[in-house]
Amino acid sequence: MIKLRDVEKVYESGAGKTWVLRRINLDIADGDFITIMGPSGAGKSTLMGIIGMLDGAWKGEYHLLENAVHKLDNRRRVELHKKYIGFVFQQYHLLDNLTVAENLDLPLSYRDIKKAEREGMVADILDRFQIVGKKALFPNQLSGGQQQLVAVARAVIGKPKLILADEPTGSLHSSQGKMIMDLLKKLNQDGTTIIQVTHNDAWAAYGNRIIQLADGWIVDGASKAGAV
Amino acid sequence: METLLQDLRYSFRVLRKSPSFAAIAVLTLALGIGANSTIFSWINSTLLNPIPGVRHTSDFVVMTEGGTARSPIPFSYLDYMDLRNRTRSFSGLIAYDINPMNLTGTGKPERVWGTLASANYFDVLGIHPILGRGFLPVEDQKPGGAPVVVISYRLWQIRFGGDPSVIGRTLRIDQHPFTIIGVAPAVFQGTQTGMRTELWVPLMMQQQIVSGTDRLPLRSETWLMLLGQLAPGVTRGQAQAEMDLLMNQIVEQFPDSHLGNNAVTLYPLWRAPFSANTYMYVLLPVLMAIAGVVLLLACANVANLMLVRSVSRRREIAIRLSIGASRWRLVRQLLIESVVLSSAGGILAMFITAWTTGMLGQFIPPTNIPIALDFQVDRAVFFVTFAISILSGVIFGILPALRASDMAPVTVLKEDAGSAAGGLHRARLSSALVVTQISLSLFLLVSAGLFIRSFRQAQRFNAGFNPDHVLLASYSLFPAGYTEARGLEFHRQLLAKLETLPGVQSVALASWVPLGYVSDSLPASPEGYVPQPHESMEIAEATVGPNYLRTMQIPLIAGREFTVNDTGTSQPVAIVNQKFADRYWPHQEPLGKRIYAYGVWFTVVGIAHNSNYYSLSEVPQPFLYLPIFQDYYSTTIIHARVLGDPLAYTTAVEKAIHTLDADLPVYDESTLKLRVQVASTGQRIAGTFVGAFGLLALILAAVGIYGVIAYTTRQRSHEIGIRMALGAQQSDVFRLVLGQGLRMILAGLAIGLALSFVLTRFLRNILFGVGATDALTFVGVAMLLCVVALLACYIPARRAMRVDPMVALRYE
Ligand SMILES: Nc1ncnc2c1ncn2[C@@H]1O[C@H](COP(=O)(O)OP(=O)(O)O)[C@@H](O)[C@H]1O
Ligand SMILES: [Mg+2]
Repeated sequence: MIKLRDVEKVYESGAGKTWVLRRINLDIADGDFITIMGPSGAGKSTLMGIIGMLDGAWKGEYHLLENAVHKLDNRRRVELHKKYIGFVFQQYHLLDNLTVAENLDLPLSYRDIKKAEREGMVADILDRFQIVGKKALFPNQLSGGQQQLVAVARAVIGKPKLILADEPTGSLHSSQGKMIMDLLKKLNQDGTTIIQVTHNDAWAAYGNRIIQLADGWIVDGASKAGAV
Repeated sequence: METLLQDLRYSFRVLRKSPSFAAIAVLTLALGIGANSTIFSWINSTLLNPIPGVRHTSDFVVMTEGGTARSPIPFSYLDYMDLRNRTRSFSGLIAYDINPMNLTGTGKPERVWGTLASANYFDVLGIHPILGRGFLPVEDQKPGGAPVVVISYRLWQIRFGGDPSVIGRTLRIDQHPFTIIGVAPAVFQGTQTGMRTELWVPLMMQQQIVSGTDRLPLRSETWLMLLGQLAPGVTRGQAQAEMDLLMNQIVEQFPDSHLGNNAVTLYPLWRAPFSANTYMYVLLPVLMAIAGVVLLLACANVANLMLVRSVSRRREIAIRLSIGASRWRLVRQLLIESVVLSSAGGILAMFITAWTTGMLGQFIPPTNIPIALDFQVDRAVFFVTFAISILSGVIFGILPALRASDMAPVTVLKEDAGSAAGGLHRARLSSALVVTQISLSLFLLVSAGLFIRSFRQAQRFNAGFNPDHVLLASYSLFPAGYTEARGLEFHRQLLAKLETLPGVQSVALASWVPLGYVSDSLPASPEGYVPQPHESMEIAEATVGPNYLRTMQIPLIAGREFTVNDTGTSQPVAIVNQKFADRYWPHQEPLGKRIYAYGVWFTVVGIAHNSNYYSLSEVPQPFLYLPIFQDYYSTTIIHARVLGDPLAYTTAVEKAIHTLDADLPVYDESTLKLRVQVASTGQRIAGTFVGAFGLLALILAAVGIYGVIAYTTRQRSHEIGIRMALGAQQSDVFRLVLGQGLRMILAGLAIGLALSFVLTRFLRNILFGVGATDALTFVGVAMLLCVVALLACYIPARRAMRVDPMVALRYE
């Protein structure tokens, strides 16, 4: 599903160049549940951003399904992103001044979907995640676990093929963390490809493959051979 | 007190730390306050201090007998004496008349304006000559028996070099010797606001000064303006009632000399007729109100700047609150900061005002009257500016101060530096302020648009004559010693000479120039017309020579113009305008009809097209032309229609006059075009200043909306990052930011349009040729403001598009 070839990321500052990702080669298959691990500052989030097409400034080749992402302009990339990708963040990143339902509707509002249909989709997802009772609440009226639940629901609502979860349990107690991980597992079983970043070995075990990143290099798990 | 000083010191330190904020705030406030102090300085020098040198003018009133404020009618000497002797409402009643006077004898011949005044003049006004004395009661008694003169400080300096021995010297006024008895103080220039007179001569000398008959014994000869000081405790209303009563007695006693309307009207000096205040009291309050709106707008702008800034001070304020500062104490601290800002703005505004206060004078076109409006920044202006400054400091400071100090310190201190939540309230207040700014600027722009359109309409207006290519020049024969017979001969010879000048197409003499400050009228009875009860038969009149209509290009509808043969020995003739004929002789042939006036029957020989006589907005009114060779005027104005630039003919005209009389002064050389600009002065002033206010408003609105959108966009960059992570295209983000701006703009425009719709009706009196709710102006201005405001949003919207979600979402 994903093929990265010699992907490099450089930050240029006044002092000089900082290499954040070096010659990343990675293949991810449809239905994978990948865990990226590594020390803080290793470049995990940067890699997620590139895969999720939030970051446009990198070198190398990136194929997502049949699309050569590196050849596309920003507009097309956003279109791809909308079609295939959902994001979950450590800090939830819900919008404070929107209700739960409005937050869920947000990604749909950027897709060409009719209002009525969107309402139906929001209702479905509220139902599926069992948060119907919370739909009129604002994020700050929810616990961290509930907020992340909403964030996952928001990532899922557009029926993405790929979910990028950057330390989704990083701010949660372990019981809440487990709930989120179980949820991701279930999504994976239903066919969604998942890439997660975590520092927690127990959560890493939810995936079928671990990639170790250090100083921008993949030090382990680049190829399928390294899988379980 | 000590803490106050401490707060003050702290304010200075805080403001020094953000110099660009302080500079923008001070400049914005200085412009807003400066607009107000400028207009106030004008009000101060006219409406509030109508007679320079006289302190308490609130108990003075000016009176007219009949007429209107536009063309009021003065009093006869005998009526004045009767009123003065019988009244109990006034502690003093002055009569005076202003005339041009010629100075000869020592020094060069000079034409100045002087006042014929009753002898109580200086005493009632409380003016003490700085040299010599004022008039004595005895100088009010014998006609021709008081050849004394008080001269102005200016004349004393210019003509006599400030010589202290000037008292007792002789000054020849209109060829008659007068003894100088006093020098008036420098500030005093007479009682007509805006007009300077240089001489004061007792009323008893009127026959020496003004040609013609002795007017003292004639009750029908109305020539004196009355200025009275109310007795202590008497109100204007009571005085009015008494005057009505006394005038009724006089009219009953002398009905023949009191035809028409004789109602006495009392005016306070701030809107006295015959003075600059007649115009100023309409114009200046409107300008003041509009300047007030400009200041409000400036305050809204600075308030918004303060709000934006207070975000960066949340921690400071939270710490102060948590260590026990009361909210009131914090509000005070913040208010002191804003008052420091506004005071600095006020100081700058004083400098601006010192420069702008003189501007109004430059807008008043030259006329035959010596306009002397001395606009000064005095103590009153200073105090008002100071008060306005403090007030605006509180106005723009209070909301941000209350908002900034309204927080729970614990949450703020715990808050992550990047949290966007704290900005929300503030953003809402900011948005409300922007909506206010846009609506106020729209109102200002609408006003500016209306005034600019009025001015253009006034300039383009066809007043019924052609003001282009006409040279005006005046001369006065009576002061030069001419008798009527010699004067008529002079007029005739001069006309013949001028007509032959190359480039001169047509020449005429006339006693007046239309659309100026002065006008003549006479009581007249059109043959066969029966006046309604109390109908005023005062008919506006001008005395003109042959070819006048042709020179002015006023169409002659029927009959003929005057000729040189319409003289004192031929049949008295008149030309009337169309309106005159329609009004008094409807459906009749006006040619050949007669008019009774001055005890003579005038036969109508011509019908002139209607034109404007006093103002651009007047409705057509009956008008009468009398021939100058029949109704002798010693002071006349040459009207010469020429090819090309009229002023290029000045020397040729002067030369023609001086070949006939080498010593005759020629004065008031101007063009008809310039002179009739008087009529659009109000529109010109309003258009210019309100136009400038509008431009300022446009800039402030643009800066305001830019600031808020840029600020909230920066605040929202996190949100924008999230939206991008959820699939928002850059164009979605652009639309999001522009949409936020557009909502404010539309709300502002809607409120502004409603506001303008309600408020512009108060401008109606100054507008000309354009309705107060002129759709074109409203729509055009709203569109202009909308475009400018959208442009101001465009920059932050572009910036928002380039938000890097990776950066926006990354915070630890
Ligand atoms: N905008 C930036 N400019 C310069 N360096 C950056 C920027 N963003 C991230 N980095 C650097 O890139 C490296 C990788 O960051 P990141 O991908 O967030 O690491 P991780 O998620 O593995 O902790 C870090 O060293 C970080 O300091
Ligand atoms: Mg990270």
